[in-house]
Amino acid sequence: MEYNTGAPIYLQVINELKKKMVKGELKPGEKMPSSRDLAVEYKVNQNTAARIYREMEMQGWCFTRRGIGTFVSEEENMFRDLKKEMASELLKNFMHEMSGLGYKKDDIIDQIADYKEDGENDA
Amino acid sequence: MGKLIKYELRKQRTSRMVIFIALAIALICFWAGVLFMNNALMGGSVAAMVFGAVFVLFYTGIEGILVFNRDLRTKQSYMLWMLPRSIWEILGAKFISAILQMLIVFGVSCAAVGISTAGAVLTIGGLSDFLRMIHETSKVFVQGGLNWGDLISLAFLLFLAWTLIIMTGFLAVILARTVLVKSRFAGLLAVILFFVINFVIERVYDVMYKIPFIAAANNVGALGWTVWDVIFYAAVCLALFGASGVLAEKKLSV
Amino acid sequence: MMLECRELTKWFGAKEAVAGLTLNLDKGKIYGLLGENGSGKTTWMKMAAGLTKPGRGEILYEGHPIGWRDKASIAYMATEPFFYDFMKVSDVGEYYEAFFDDFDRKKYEETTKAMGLEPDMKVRNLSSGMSAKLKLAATLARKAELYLLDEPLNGIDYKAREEIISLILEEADGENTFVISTHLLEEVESFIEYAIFIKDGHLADKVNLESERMKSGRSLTELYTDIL
Repeated sequence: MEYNTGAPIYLQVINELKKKMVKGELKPGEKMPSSRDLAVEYKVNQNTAARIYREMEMQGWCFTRRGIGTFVSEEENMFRDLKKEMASELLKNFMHEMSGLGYKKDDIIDQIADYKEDGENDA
Repeated sequence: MGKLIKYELRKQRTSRMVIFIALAIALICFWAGVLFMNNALMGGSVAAMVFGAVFVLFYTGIEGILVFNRDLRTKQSYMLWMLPRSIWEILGAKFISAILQMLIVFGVSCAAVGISTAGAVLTIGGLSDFLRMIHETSKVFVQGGLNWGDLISLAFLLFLAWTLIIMTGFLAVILARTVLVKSRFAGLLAVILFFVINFVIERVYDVMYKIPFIAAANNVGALGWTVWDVIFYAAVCLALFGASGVLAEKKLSV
Repeated sequence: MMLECRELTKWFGAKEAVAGLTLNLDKGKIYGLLGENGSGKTTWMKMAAGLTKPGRGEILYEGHPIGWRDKASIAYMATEPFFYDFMKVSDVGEYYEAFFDDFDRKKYEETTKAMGLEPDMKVRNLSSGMSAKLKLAATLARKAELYLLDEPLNGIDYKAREEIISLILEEADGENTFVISTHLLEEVESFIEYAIFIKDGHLADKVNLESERMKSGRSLTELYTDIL
């Protein structure tokens, strides 16, 4: 993956893994790659790989069975929360940027209602 | 040690092949001369072999030094110096490979020339001439006063003299490569150092013969050496080997 | 401490290649050795590998002065090709197996095969990229404690570089130590833990990259420009 070279690598990998969970590419209870495979896949060293799993465990996003491996959390609530959390994070940034341009909340809502994605035709 | 020797001998394989091919060509010419009764071809090939033998003896004698110098000049030295082996083992393997190379070349050449000569005598003169040749050859040994003891001591002294050359060469190469690292002149310096070390040894030798009881010692063996000569040269060989090893261990950078 | 270098100095004629370099390496880390050409990286690495003898200073390996026996657990890879001219790919494996107890012949054969190197290929006929891969396959098939890799990514195309980095990361298990010298900062940025900056033969700085990114947000390229 492409990294932002000015930000901690382990946080960027965690974000990537979180996205995969929310998108369903990593399902509840699924076995996660070994830390060696994680290191190779994301071009990080063993210590960073171990740190990534440690942090994710602390947040309750995954858990480790000794001698077997690391697994995605089985709690459905966690996924919902994670999705909400990531959405509100994005929204917060968006709102912050928009208000920086001088938009009020109502204007922004109107803007969103009128917003057409690429390929959407005017009706 | 055996594994090191195996790869050292492998490095010398090309020169071995060249020598054997040249020998084979000379023998084929010789046999063509014998079969077609062509004296010029026969004589020419024998002369070539004698001349070649002198050159080969000289070359294989110092080949060990040349290979060592080439090792240190190129990155191939890493192949030896990255190994968990002591400098003594590396130098020892080089020394033993040099001996083996000479024995192999010498053995094969002697066997080939011997068989060929015997075959030629048989072809031209028949069995009686062949038997007479063996008889004559053995008579030369007996009448010349040569016996097995003399032969062995001669071989030993030649071996010692050659060891001295190799050890001097090793030290000269290491000295050149520790003093003049990465210089084109290191090879030339090694040659000069070789003669300098030889000169020093001879001076020490002269000084030794100033001691009365050493000067009075009797000659032994066919080369006219005394017991003190043997002791002296053996000690010098050891000292040169020791100096090479210590210097390489402390200072040699490849 | 796995490797301690104290006040290392090495002269080549009138040029001081390494000048009072003091540097300590810990077990289980991946170090990037960075600096301009001629800054002394290769000379330092060759001293740590026991190929070059320091003029002054000392090197301690796991607490004792480094010696030839330590080469059994140090895997050094030079940047230039160094295998014997007469060798084939299979001969290289045989050579390493003969002299290194930690060499895994099967792994070597698998890796070389995956790289497209056939056992009967002549070493001296290989392209520079293939030759670089071969050296690395042989070096990484050892189970060493310290790997010293001098410019392992030099002269190879992008795809092969990715393969080589994967090989390194598969082998780096958090127990062994890697020192990798390179000019390709972007290639190694994500996985090296400490960047060692060498300037004019001495240590300019040693930086923990992840801490630095957290603290100042500087990338490796920015650090390189700032420090050297």
